Amino acid sequence: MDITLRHVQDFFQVLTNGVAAGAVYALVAVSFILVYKAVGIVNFAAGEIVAVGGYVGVVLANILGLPLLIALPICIVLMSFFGYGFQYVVYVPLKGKSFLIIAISTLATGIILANGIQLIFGPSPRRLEPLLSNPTVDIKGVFISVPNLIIIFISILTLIGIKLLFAKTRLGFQMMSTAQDPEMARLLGVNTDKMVSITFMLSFAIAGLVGFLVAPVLYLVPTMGLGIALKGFAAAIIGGFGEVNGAIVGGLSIGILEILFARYLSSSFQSLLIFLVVLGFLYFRPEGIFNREIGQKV
Amino acid sequence: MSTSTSGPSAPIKEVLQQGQHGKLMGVNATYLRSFRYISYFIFIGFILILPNLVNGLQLRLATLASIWFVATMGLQVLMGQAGLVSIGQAAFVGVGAYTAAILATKHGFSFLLTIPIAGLSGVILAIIVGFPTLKLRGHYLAIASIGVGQIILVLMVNWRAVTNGMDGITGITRPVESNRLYFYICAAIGLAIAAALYSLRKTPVGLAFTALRTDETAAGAMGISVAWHYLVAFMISGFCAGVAGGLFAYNEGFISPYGFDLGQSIVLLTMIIIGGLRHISGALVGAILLIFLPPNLEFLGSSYMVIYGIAVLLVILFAPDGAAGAILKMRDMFLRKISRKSGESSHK
Repeated sequence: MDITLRHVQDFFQVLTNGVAAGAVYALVAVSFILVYKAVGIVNFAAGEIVAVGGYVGVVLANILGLPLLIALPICIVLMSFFGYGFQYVVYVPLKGKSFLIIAISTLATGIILANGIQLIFGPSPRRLEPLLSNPTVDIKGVFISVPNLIIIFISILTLIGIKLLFAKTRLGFQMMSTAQDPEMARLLGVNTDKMVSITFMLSFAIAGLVGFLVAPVLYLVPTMGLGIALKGFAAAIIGGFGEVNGAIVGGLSIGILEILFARYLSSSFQSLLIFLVVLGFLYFRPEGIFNREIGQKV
Repeated sequence: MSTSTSGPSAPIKEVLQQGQHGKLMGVNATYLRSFRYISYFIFIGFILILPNLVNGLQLRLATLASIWFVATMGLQVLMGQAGLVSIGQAAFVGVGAYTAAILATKHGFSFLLTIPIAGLSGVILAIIVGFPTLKLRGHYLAIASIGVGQIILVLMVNWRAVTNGMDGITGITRPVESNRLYFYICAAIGLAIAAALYSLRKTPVGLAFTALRTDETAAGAMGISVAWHYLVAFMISGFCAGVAGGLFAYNEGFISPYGFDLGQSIVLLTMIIIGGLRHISGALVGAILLIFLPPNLEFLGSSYMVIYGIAVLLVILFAPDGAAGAILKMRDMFLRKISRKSGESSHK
C-alpha cells in the first residue's frame, strides 16, 4: 500500500485526538494519585467525580446560562468544596480501618453519585457548547478539533502547575511531607489535617476540571465515570501507582495506543487492548515503566 | 484486656474469639450448639416445604436467591475472611454461565459434568487474575478485577464465534423439568458449599485467612504464606461464582452478556455487605434481601441502585457486621437470657 499525504494527515489527526484523550487520562490519574499518596486511599469513585464535574458544568453553563469562562472557575471551586466534604465520608470516619472497608465506601459513594446523576438528569446524554464556534483548525491539511486543542493546552498548564506546586512552594512541601510521614510532619509543625483537606480539594478540583473539559467533546452520560476511571487506573498502574510523572506518561501512552488501535486495527476490541497492557504490566513490571520500588508484600 | 486493637495480639485475639465465641459472650456452649442444630433443622425443613407455600414467581425468586447465595458465599470468603476486594465478580459468574451453556448446548455435556467444570473455569480465571496481582498491595486486585470484568464483557459481546455476541446462547435445558426440583437442586448445592466453607473456617487455611485479614505483616512473620493463601481465597470465590453461573444458565435457559456486567458485580458486593461480611450466613441473608427487594424499588426507575449505594455506605459506617451480624447478636442475647435463667433455677 502506498503511503500518500492523506494517510500522513490522517495519522496526525488521529494522533492529536489520542494525545487529547491521553491528557485527560493523565489528569484523572494525577487526581486520584494525589489522594492516594496523601492518605493511602484508592478512590474508586474517581470516575464518577469527573462526571459530577461535567454535570456541574452543564448546570452552570446550560441551565443557569453562564458563559463558559466564568462557569469553569465556579465549577472548579464547587468541586473543591465537594472534595472537602468527601473526606468526611470516606476518610475521617474510617481512619485506621482496613483497605476493604475504605475501598467499599468509596465504591458505594461512586454508585450513589452515578445513580444520583441519573435520577436528577435522566439517562439521556448532555453536552456543553464548545468554547469557540469553529470546530476545527486546519494545519497543513490536518484537521484538529478545537476542544481537543483546548484540552491539551489546559492539561499541560495544569500539570505544570502541579509540578511547580510540589517543587517550589511551601504548601507543596508541607503536602508532600504529610504524605510521606504524617507523624514527623506533625512534629515539625505542619497542620496535617489541613494538608489532607487541601489534597482532597485539589484532587476534586482537577477531576472537576477534567469533567468540564471533556463535556464539549464526549457526551455526558451518568455512567461515563466507569470508563474514565478505568483508563485513569490503567494510566496509574503503567506509571507505577503513586508517581505524577509516571501517571502522565501512562495516560498519554494509553490515550495514543487506544486510538491508534481503534483506527487501524479494531474498534470493538479497543478496551481489551488497554486491559491486556495493564495485566501485562502487573505480570512483568508491577513497579511501572520508571521502575520505582513499590511496596511488595512480605 | 487492653482496648488497643493494633499490634500482633490482634489476630490471635480474633482467632480465639472465633473459636470460643460462645464462652466469651457468656453463652452456655451446650445451648449454643443445640440452638444451632435446631435452627439448621428448621431451616432445611423450611426449604423442603417452601415450594408448597409460595406461588410460581416467588419460587423462581427463591431459586435465584439460592443461586446468588452460592456466588455471594465466595465473596464472603474473599472479602469477609481474607479481607480482599473484588469488584468484577459478575464476570466470574459469567464465565461459569457461558462455560456451562456452551458445553451443554454444543457438546451435549450433562448437568453433573457442566456444573463442576463451570466452577473450575472460575478457578482458572481467578488464577490468571490473582497470580500477578495478589503479590502486590490490596488495591491492585480491586482494580484488576474491574478490568477483568470489562475484558470478559468485551469478549462476550464481540467474540461472536464462541459467545454468539449480544444474541447470547439459547436452548440450555434443565436436567429436571419441574421448578420445584430445580429449586431443591440449587438449594442443596448452596447448602453443601456452605457446609464445606463452614468447616473450612476451622482448618489451618481458614484460620490463616483470618490472621491475614487482621494483620498481614504479623501473619507473614509467623510463617503464613501470604500470596498463596490470598490466591486460595480468590480461587474459592472464583469456584463459587463459576458454579453459580452454571446454575444460573440452566435456570434461565438463555444467557447474554447482559446480566454479567459491572452493575451485577455491584449487586453481589451489596449482597455480602448488607447481609454481613463476617458471616457465611450473611451471604444468605444478603442474597435473599437483594432478590426480593428490587420489585419494591420500582419508583426509582433505572436509578434504583442509588439505594444500594446508600445502604452499603450506611452499613459500612454504622453496622459493619450487616444484617446477619444483627441477627446473631439477637440470638446471643436470647441465649444469654436463657443461660442465666437456667443458671438461677439450678442454683435454687
